[in-house]
Amino acid sequence: MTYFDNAATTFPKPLAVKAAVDQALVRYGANPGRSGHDLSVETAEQVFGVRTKAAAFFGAADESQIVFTQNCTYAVNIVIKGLLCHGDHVIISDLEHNAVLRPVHALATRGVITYSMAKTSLDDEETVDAFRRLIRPETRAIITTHASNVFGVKMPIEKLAVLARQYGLYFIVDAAQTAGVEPIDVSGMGIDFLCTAGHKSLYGPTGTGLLITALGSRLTPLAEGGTGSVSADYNQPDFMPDRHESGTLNTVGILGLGAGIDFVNRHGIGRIAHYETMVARCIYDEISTEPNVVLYTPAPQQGVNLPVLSFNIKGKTSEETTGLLNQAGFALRGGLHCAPSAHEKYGTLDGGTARISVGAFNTVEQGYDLACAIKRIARAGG
Amino acid sequence: MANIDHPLLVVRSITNAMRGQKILEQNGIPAYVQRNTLPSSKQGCGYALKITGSVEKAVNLLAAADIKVTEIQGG
Repeated sequence: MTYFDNAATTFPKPLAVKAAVDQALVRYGANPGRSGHDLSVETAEQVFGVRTKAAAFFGAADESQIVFTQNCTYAVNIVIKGLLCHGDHVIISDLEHNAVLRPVHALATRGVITYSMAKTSLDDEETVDAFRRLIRPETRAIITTHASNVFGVKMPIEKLAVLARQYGLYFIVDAAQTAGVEPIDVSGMGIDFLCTAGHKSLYGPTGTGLLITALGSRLTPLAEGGTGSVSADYNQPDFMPDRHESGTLNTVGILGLGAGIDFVNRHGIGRIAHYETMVARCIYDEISTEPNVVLYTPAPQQGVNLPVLSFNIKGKTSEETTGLLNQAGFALRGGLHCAPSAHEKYGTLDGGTARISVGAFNTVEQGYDLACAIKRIARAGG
Repeated sequence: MANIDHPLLVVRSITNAMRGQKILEQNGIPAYVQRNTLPSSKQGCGYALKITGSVEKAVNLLAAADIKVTEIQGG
């Protein structure tokens, strides 16, 4: 089976990640931050080491700005539900994953907030203008994906950060798809809250995510509980990262994530992105000439869009296409990819799209084989 | 245990303790992370830095990094 579903989670993971997970299970099994015995402190040192790596990787000032979460969705929920108050208005893009869309919509449905959806464009200035036009006196935040998980379209987050700063708004970024393939510097880029997955292009295990922020103390916690700190106080700690890390941490996942970050650092974000884009471009060039194949975005180009391609074969639903590809030995995702507004925008809400998402372990040969399989299916029953 | 040569600076969390250790050692003050052996009824259990060097300098360095020392034992 050849895996092209890396936007859902990367697979396989680097061998170093497997080794780190193994070490966590056999050597660092004590509970970090809870006890004073050597095993607990040694485990805490390992966890702290991953905080240090994550802080450096994302340009955070120090380790206290790194919150370990179970995934990107949880990080997004911490921010949205901890920050927004009655009467607030927020602006999101029309490319959001349900990780952003659902918590925002849920707060709106309960009458807590209102929200607007900015119509994005392939032209950055048009996108920024669309956000600007929606700003109201009660607008509190701009929340946007860094890049669409369905179509690979990148958002101009640096320009949107400037816009947010200009109007005194918080700027929240869902970087689930970009962390590890696009350089992200929270301080330099003006990002107040960066939410991301650890198990996608950072190559950590599933069950890992990150919230990176200097403003964590301003958020009401989504969950309260034991933190191993100031334990006589009935109140949740007001300091970071403990404020948002109740309960025992996922040590196994976090140490694996640390090895994943090392993997990305070793190979370099630019090189990984260049390589993945090359593979995606080969596939794009092959299938874009096929009359029965419908593509929705321009060809992959490093720095412009991600190596994520959505397509359909005429006469077939996306799930039928991915089912046939599964039979042919290729793992792709079909359907809506948890991003209904993105499909509404591209006219694919009814039936969704088949998605090819490239990872660092895919090869050009695999890409050609996949393209050939797609063309065979398209020609057979298109 | 804390003593006059190795005072304990109690901080609020393990992350604060490890950040603090890094900062102190970068500034020439050896520091060792350990459990607070005298948990108070006010703060409860937590972690501390056992240091070798000036308490005042250490506290100031930690404060500059937004690491609050909640109690000093020994020294």
